[in-house]
Parts: sequence; C-alpha cells; structure tokens
Amino acid sequence: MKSPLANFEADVIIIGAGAGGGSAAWRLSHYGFKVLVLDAGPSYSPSDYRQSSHTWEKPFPYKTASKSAYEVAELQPIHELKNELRSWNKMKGLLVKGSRRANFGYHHVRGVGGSSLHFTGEAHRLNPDSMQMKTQHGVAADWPMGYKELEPYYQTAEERVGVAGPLSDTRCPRSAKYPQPPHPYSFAAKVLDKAAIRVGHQPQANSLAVLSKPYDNRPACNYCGGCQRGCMLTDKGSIDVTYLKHALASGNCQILPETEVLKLETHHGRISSILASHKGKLHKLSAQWIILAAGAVQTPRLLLNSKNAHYPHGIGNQNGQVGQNFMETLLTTVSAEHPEKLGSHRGLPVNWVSWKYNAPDSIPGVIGGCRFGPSMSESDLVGPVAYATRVIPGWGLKHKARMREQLGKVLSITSIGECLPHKKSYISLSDQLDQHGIPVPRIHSYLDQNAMARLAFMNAECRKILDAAGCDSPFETFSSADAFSSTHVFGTCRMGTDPRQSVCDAFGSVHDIKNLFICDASLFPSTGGGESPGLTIQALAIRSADYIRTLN
Amino acid sequence: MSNKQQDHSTHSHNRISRRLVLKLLALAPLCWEQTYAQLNNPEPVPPGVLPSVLDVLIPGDSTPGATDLKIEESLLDTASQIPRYPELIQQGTQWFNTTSLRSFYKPFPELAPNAQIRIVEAAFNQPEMTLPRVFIERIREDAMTLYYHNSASWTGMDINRPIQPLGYPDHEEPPGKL
Repeated sequence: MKSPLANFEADVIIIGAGAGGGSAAWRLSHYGFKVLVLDAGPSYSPSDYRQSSHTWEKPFPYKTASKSAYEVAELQPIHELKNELRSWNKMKGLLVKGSRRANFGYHHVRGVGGSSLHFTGEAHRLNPDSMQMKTQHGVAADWPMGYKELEPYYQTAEERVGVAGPLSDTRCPRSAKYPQPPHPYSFAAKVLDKAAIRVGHQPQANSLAVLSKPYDNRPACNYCGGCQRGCMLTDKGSIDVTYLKHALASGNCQILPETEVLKLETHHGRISSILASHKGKLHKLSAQWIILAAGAVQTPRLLLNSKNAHYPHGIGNQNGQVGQNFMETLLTTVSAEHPEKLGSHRGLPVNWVSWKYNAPDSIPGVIGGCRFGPSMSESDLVGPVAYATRVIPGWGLKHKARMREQLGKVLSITSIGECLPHKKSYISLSDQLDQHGIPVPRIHSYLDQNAMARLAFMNAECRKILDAAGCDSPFETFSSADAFSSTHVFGTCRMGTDPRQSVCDAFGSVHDIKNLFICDASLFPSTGGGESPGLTIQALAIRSADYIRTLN
Repeated sequence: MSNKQQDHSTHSHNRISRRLVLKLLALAPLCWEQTYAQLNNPEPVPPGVLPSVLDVLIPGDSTPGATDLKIEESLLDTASQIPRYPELIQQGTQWFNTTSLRSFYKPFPELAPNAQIRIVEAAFNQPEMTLPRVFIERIREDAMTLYYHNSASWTGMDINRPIQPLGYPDHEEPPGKL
C-alpha cells in the first residue's frame, strides 16, 4: 500500500495536532495553504469513550502511543514542608511517602486533538495585568505584545470553538460578547457559589468551550460531567471536533496520526526537511513553513535533539534558552463531605470561577495570582468507585450503607496559581532513549518559597470556602507542594524581543531559523494567575498563521 | 446473591476483643516470616480463602456481594498483569488461613462470619508494610474498584446508570427532585 506521505506536497507542515497546531491548521488551510498535520499519537472518535458503559468511571482511554515518553529528574526535599501543605487522604494517609516531592506525572494526551481531548473545557483569556511581569513585578518576562493585540484573536478562537461565558466579564476587555450564553450552575455549584460569596469572593460563570446551545452542528451539553474522560457528544470544543474538522473540510489539510517527527534538518538558516517515522518507516518531508506545536516538553526536546554542525546546541538554542523557564501547573485541591445530599456528581466540571486573586499583586505578600473554582469532577469525585476508594473508609455492610448515604455529598474546591520561572526548572535531554534511540525529555521542577507561599494561601482559601459551605473537615488535599503533577506546561521556548533572552519573536518565529514557527505554550513568558492556557495558545497560533500569510 | 454476611452487621467488628486483637497482632510477624521463607515453595492455600475474604469486605445485602459479581475472577485477572501481585495474593491468603487455623482451629472459609470479620479487622490493624496490611489494603482497593464498576452494585445510590447517553438534565435541582 502506498504510504500517505509519498508525494504529498505541503506548503506548511505542522508538528502536533493539539491546541496550537489545530488552530494554525484551520486558519492556514482556509487561506489556501496546503497543510500537512503530523501527530505522534492516534486519532480518537466519540465511540472510543466509555461514558455509556458500566465502566464509565475509568480514566481517559489512552491508546498505544497516546502518551509520550519523558523522565522527571529527582525533585526537591520536602522535610521542611508544613503538614497543611501536604497531599493526603484520610484513608491513605500522606500521598507522598518519601522525603522528596514525588512525580505524579505530566498529564497529557498525544493524539489528534492533543490534551484538549481530556481537558475540562475551560477557555480563559489571560489577565492583561499578567503580561508585564518583568516590568511591573521584576519577575519572569514581559509578553512581547499587549493584550489589545491579542484580543481579536481571542474573539476568533472563541467563535470557532463556541465558548459559553458570562454576560458581563470585566476582567479582560472584550470587543464582543461570548458566542454562547453561560451555563446554569449545578445544584452543588450553587452551594459553593454562596459559600465563596460569604467569604468575600465574587464568583462568575466560567467561560467554557462547552456548548450551552447547539452550535456548528454539535449538540448542547447534557451535563454528564465526564469531560476529562473524552466527550462522546462532541459538545466540548476539543480541537479535533472544532478546528481540525473545519481544516479538513477546507480540502487543503491532511492529518496523519501516529507519525512521529524525530529530527529537524537545516540548510542555510532554514528547516530544509524533517525526518518522520510513520508505521515503522522513515520519511523525509519538506515544506516552505514548519510549525512546531508539540507542547512545552516535547517541543524543546525536538529542537535539542536536532542539533547539527551549524546548530551544535540544538535548533534555536544559540543562547541556551531552549528548554529554560519551564513552568508547571501550580495547584491545590481540597475536598470535604457536606452533611446533605447535593447530587454533587452532576453537572459541569468547573461551573464558576473566582478571579478575585487573579491579578499578580492580589495575594498579600506574594507575587503572582491564582483563581478558584468547584472541582468535584476535576478531582474525579463523581462516581461510586471514587467514593469507595477515597471518601468512605471501612468495609462490610456498614460501608455499603454509607456508600448509598454519602454519594453526592462531596464538595471540592481547586485553586490554580501563577508559576514563575526558576533556574532549577527546565527541560533537558535524558540519558533514557525512546524506541527510535532518541533521548527523551527530562523534566526538572523546583518550587521556591514564593511558590510555596502562594500554595499556602490557595490552600487556606479553599478550606475557607468549604468551611463556609458547611462541610465537615476535609478528607483529602492534593497539592503541588509535595507532588509534581502538571497538565499545563509553559515557557520552554519563550517569545520575546531580545534574542539573548528568548527563542522566538512575538509571532512565534524562531529567531535564527527563517521558516520555523512555534505555536504552543512553550512561548509563554509567564503563565498568568491560574488561567487555563488553551484559548491563549489558540489565539497566538491564529495570529502566527496570519503573520505567515503576510510573509508568503 | 450471597447473604452469608447479612445477619452479621459490620458493627460486629467493633466488638472485637482487645485480647483477640493482641493475639492476632502477635501472630503477624511469624506469619510474615513463614510466608517470606516460602516464596519459592509456597504451600497451597485451600480454595475459597480469597472469595471469603472478599465477601467479608463486600458482603451481600440488598445488592450483590463480591462473589455474586465474580470479583475474585476479575481480581485474579487484574493481578496476573501486575508483577508480584499473584505472590502477594498467595501469601496474603495464606496468612489469613494460618491465622484462622491458629486462632480458631478451622480454615478461614469454614469460620463463622463473626470470626472471619475479626481476622479481617486484625489484618487492617497490623503495622504498615507488613504482609497482612499490604495485602488487605490492596485487595480492598481493587475489589471495591471492580465491584463498583458493575452497575449491579449501584442499586439504592443516586447513580443508577452510566453518565451517558442521558447526562444529568436535573443537575440544577436538589437530588431526587426530578
């Protein structure tokens, strides 16, 4: 059988079919570019998900190749960490038994749609105040463009995906209202909303890439709460059912799953070809433009692994910036039982959000903000298996009776906060090799005192909200303080105006390679105060696509 | 449906005598050493120990018990794919049976439900990282997971069907309103 890669003429090759790659593919294919999208992982269809089976509570259905190989370097000691900051569960005790932070994983999906396949659908714009961290607060780096420049691209992304959001949203100035009306709160989310207000928060409907009304031939959400297990209905705006669907419909786009790019080759300051493995065979491909969108762990890995005589430290790495400034998800979740049955297993994962402490100077004594929201579904506390193994101790008849009595009573609050770059947090190449004999990425993660102080504030505030809701003492806390556990990763090919301090310019163009662009969260100079990065990645990628069009 | 445990409320394990607990605790290290030494030549464990332990953990009542849903088979299947898990089951069930013989002069499956409950309770009360504690906590976790993945276990709960295709159109209301 003839390989689908043979004789494919592409103007643009995109490496990675997630948020950045998918949105760039859509924009460029609609401008008439011939686009080839390669993804190392498989493709998914709604029938891959299990929500209508008895085993619906199983996690996202990973397939062969839908997780990429990586290694995590030894993490920092935690002997001085206060107990209230530790991850624990009343049934299991401390979740980290050793004397160092533990690796709980870089949670991602490698596949067509990327990590949007298992995301909760949060679609946030970045707080404009978070984009000048260096100038305003002397930390991280400034974004090389202002919020105003990004705003039209945010709007385009929200319309493409169908974001449902609040009728009034003053945190980030908007040129138009959200394309979809906000979702109603679940009963349990209303209880938490009232509690949050009681302790001084101002929650608002979360902006979600989840349809509140039918849109773009996709149905409205039916509030099963299973977003993280993959969306069977397609109401969740994952990249495959939004951007990539329309990119394919343009007739100018081809997507090749299970195609892993192993190396970029250069000639006269350009990427001349890429070496890709597809179904066990190696292929050399070339195009006028190459877009690298493999995420903040795999993107620097590919650049570092592509070193050659002209780029002895890796492509784009003449100043040693590739892989530096790694920033992770800084998170704390606290869960407790409420005395009443609330049916808290029902509804959207993150109905509302409190941005009260989102601005970088809003937490007293700590630089960098955070946000709060309900998280029963995000904490995976929505079914009997979770209750039996994490909430209700014991066994026997009494345990069974408690299961019937307690299901639906758990409430959780999560806070995600700003993560600032640190010289001890970066991506390097490991000694460990993948099946192609190529070094896998090694993640180095370190949280300093400022991060720990932010986590302490986040943890205390989560407890305050649960307490105000009338919950019992918490039965579980999960915290980045003693566990590396990251879904959002950022910063490893930072964009900026100074090539000595950055890898790319403001359009994601790699400084010393004329036809190579990066379109993922590697670009972020700072993370924001807990915003989910997907929408910003999309906005940046659409902007880069528009820029490529002008160059063409 | 198994009703073997039905007449013996789990409250009964709260009535366990302190003396018995101490006796069982004293046996634990000995049993661990014995089974450790038998790694390469394990004594056969009488059939029925594992299902009996599982039925103590998840007895039948208005919903099926562990054996009614063939949790033992699923558990052994899961264990066969995890390094050292089959050995843990072998040694763990052996501890239960040895403890049963020493304490009550009968194999574990032949014990009255109250006596079975006492031994399970004793296993949970062993120090961390001892064989009985590791075994009982691990099989509790996995048995509960397998059991509650089966819809037959959901009767009487606020969840009585998979989350799709219906979703939760009543999510805004107090539970049970619609």
